[in-house]
Amino acid sequence: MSFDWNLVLEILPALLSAFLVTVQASLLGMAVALLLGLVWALLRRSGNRLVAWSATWTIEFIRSTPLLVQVYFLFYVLPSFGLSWSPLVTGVIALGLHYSAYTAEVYRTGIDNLPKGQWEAAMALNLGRFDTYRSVVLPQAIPPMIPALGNYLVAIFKETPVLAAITVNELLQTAKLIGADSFRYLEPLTVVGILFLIASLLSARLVEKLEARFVPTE
Amino acid sequence: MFTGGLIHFHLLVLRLAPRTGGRSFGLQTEVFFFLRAFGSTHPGLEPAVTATRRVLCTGLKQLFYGVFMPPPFDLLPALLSGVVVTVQLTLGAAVVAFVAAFIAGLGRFSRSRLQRSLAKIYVDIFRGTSALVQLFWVYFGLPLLGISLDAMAAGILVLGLNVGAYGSEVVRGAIKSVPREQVEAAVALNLSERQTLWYIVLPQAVLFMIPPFGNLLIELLKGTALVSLITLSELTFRGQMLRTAMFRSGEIFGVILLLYFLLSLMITFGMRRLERRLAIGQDYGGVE
Amino acid sequence: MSQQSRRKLEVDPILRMRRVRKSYGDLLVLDDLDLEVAPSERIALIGPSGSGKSTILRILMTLERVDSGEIQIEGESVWTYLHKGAQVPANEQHLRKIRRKVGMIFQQFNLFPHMNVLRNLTEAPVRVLGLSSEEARGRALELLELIGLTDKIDAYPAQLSGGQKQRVAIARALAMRPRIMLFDEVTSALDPELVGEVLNVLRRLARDSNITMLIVTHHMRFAQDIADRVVFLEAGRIVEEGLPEVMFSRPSHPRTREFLESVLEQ
Repeated sequence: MSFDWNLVLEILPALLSAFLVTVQASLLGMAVALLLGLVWALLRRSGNRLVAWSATWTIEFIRSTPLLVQVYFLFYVLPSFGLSWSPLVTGVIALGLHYSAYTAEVYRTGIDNLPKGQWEAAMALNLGRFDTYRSVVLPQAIPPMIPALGNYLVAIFKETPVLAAITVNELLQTAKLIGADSFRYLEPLTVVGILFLIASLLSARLVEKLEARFVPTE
Repeated sequence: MFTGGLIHFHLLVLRLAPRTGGRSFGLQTEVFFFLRAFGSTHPGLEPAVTATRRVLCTGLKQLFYGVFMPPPFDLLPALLSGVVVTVQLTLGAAVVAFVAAFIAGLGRFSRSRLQRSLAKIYVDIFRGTSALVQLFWVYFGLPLLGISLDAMAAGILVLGLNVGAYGSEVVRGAIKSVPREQVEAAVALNLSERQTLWYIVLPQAVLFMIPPFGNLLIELLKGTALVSLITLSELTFRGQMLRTAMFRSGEIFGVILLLYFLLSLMITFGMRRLERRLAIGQDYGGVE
Repeated sequence: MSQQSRRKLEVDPILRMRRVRKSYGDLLVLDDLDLEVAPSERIALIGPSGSGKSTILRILMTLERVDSGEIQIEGESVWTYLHKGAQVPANEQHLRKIRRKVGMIFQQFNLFPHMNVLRNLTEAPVRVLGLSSEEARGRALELLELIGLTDKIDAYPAQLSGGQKQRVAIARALAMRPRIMLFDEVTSALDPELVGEVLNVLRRLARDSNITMLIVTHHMRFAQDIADRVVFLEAGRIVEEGLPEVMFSRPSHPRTREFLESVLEQ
């Protein structure tokens, strides 16, 4: 059997619009992960031992279990709580939840790496907790985190195919449908693979640039 | 006699009755002995006895677990075979990943331009594309090029090569972390390049590799769930099957998440113990 | 070469460096260096940091290449060899042949941390020289007696003090029976009270063996005791060389005088 190039041309439009869905899901998922991760990170720094401990173990639990199962869990369980969202929304939330465990870790190391003297100076100036974070901690801690966060955006992008399991029409799902329709899986899957490869190589280059810009070299 | 047997049976269930003959039989076997004894003393009831035996055969375990293990843990036996397949898949892929990581990782240091490029291409391709897409491509796409793999083989191959690509970066980084002075000392003792790599650099590098390898092993474990989508009957697949039979989705997937969590904790502890064993004698600050 | 040392070289030098040049990028480290060493000679290399002393040792140990110039060990060229009638650049095989004659002790000891003392001492003899493990062990035990650390045979480097580590490093190099031993500031990383035990091993080695020794050191008293010739290096060139008595009491060159004054103050 050989490679059918004509089929490739035929299906390209469908795949490109699926690509948009993939990008959409990735960006939204990342947004959720960034927000939620910050919440976890702050909870972990809580004075209350129980809260901090629970946050730590929740993060560990989310990080150590498969995204696919978490997606299934949310997809099948949420409706029984009266929340019936579209597969895309559910998928985005699952992605965001899963990767919030990783972004929380990035936040944590970023904040921990801030020299203790900065905290002490802020205290000496009588800055409250909120202002300390806003004016002193986050502005210094965040730039070095950006390359690491960029890497996770790429990781989210590569994991969006998992959402095909709950019928979100992203790249893999579309390829599957094309394959089922035309009985030829090779071409759509190869094109999808190459699309991911290109996007991934480009973004790796981008993250390198980010690293050069944001991470101070010693 | 029947009543006596029934009481005996209940006592067996409660694990209070003494086991016959000093050997420990499974609960099922005990009941079968009872039924056979009963059947032979009450020949007219043979068909009933056979029917009872068949019902008990399938339902007995469920009954036992149902009495002693509250939901949702009553789901465990149905999921257990899935756990076995998951573990098999993880171990198989781990072997592939380990080998691939070393070949590609060492390949990046090769004198030959060709070997270096091949290693880099392998790493870029497998890291740059989605594991699930790779899985589908191998399972659905390859047959059209003439190569057909079953789900387990495809899973082991794809997951192994995928994680192996990340692993090769770990190998590369660990080898670079071994202080250059160690290589100089080896040169001063006139060890050959191969001897220096094998006996001096790698043993030290391996120690650095263990924590990141532990993380990759957990990623591998998580990846096995994806193979359910090409119909391998591992843990997640069984979860889906049970869901369609039972509609207790929350409990099912909750228990499954716990099982994965337990497996990954086992991996983490295993790796820590490995690290401690390999660091014997050395002043190694890596173990927490 | 100065008059004082010329007298020594009535035999073929075991080591010959001719017009050696080496740069690290823009930095010229060795500047047309000429040096000849007689068999069993003990040379102390002194000079300010950055003068190129360590570089000389590293080049002799084939850890670094030269930009130009000739280096010969026991009459054999190090960086080229005769192949089908022509001199071609040395390959790994040739370098390994040369390396057999040279051993080096490093400032940072560089013991193999994943091996105990016995294995550190026997690994190379077994793998490179082809000794059986019994032979290698026998050799290791002799050397451990020489350095006074027989009881540490099963210890790991992490359990040894700096002075003990360096002594083991010396034994490890000696196990390969080199003709030339290079000592690169071997006491600089040690606490002062541990320096003596290492210098004593060097003294014993100088007294009891025929090994040619090139020692880069800051310890002038030690250099005076042990050296047959002292070579003062600055900015990649030999400024002055001669007998220790002469060099330390009445050096000819003003730079030598300045350097010795600044060092002996400490």
